Amino acid sequence: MLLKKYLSTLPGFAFMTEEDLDHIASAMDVEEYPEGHVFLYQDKPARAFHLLLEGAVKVGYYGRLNRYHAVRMLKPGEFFGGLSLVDSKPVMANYAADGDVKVASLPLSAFLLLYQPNSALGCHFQHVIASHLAWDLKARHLALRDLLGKLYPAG
Amino acid sequence: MSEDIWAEYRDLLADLLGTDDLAPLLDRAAPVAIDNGQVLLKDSEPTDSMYLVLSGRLEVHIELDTHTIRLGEIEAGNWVGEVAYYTHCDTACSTVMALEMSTLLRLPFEAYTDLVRSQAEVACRLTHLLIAMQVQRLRATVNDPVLDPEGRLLMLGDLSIPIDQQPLHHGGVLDFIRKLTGIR
Repeated sequence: MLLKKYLSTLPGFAFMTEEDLDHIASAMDVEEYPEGHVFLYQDKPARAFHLLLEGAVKVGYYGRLNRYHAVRMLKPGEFFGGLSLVDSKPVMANYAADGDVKVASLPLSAFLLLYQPNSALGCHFQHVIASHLAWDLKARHLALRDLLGKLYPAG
Repeated sequence: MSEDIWAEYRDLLADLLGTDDLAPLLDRAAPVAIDNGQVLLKDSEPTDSMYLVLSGRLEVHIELDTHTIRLGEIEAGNWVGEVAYYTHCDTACSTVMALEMSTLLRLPFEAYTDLVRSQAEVACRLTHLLIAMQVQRLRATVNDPVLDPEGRLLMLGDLSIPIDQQPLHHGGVLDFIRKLTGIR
């Protein structure tokens, strides 16, 4: 699979030029990881911006008494790690491979260079980040609506 | 000569965007006034715009039938409705209701897309702001919902970024180096 072509199909990349896509694709490392590989640890800073290409990544949260709560399952085409990179604060959940996965990762240094809004590429990249965070917010809202549905089943 | 409908809010807008060049945004926007209790966006119902709160205060809920989870409040200087734009969804993902008489800047999704395509610098400043607000909202809400005596779930979070804490300028090379090396 050609990463550049794949990126061009993602909604957040709608404003990217061919050159933009070249820059971003060439800065990302594509690797395969086994079941259980942890990409991001809860309460630790992210060191890369990840894009799930194949497989599934489970998101979980360790709450009180170290109890594990499954939060959601990421599908191919979803990014993760962006929140921690943007605000330089720890990741809020654990992100681990659920089965074998293929992930493209943008290292922190490349992320920070791209995230500068002083260029057209930087502006386009900010659009990608805004889109990624919006999907996270939407996923949270859907989860809360599901929670309401479980607490107050219809009928 | 027509009256400047934005006169009262130009300073606020200039502060938020970090520029006095507001025409690219204002030419594509329209003011909206809503009364206390009026619903601006209804969860799961169609929407086609995002809104900047110019004055007043709004409340955000997730809804299912007659049950709600209160997410928090939105104050002046903050945007609502942008999630639907970025997720390419034509329905709102929460209910937004005025807690007092409020004035908003309405920016239709099509107009924002046009702004991104034709006025990249202004759009970029706006995107930067929206990212800061999304980060705030993702960090704000707590993980353990609380049930109130009437069966309403409360997740009290401060969804707004105070105006004086909003990003007024874009980071440069020094910011980049500070961030990379972890220096605050």
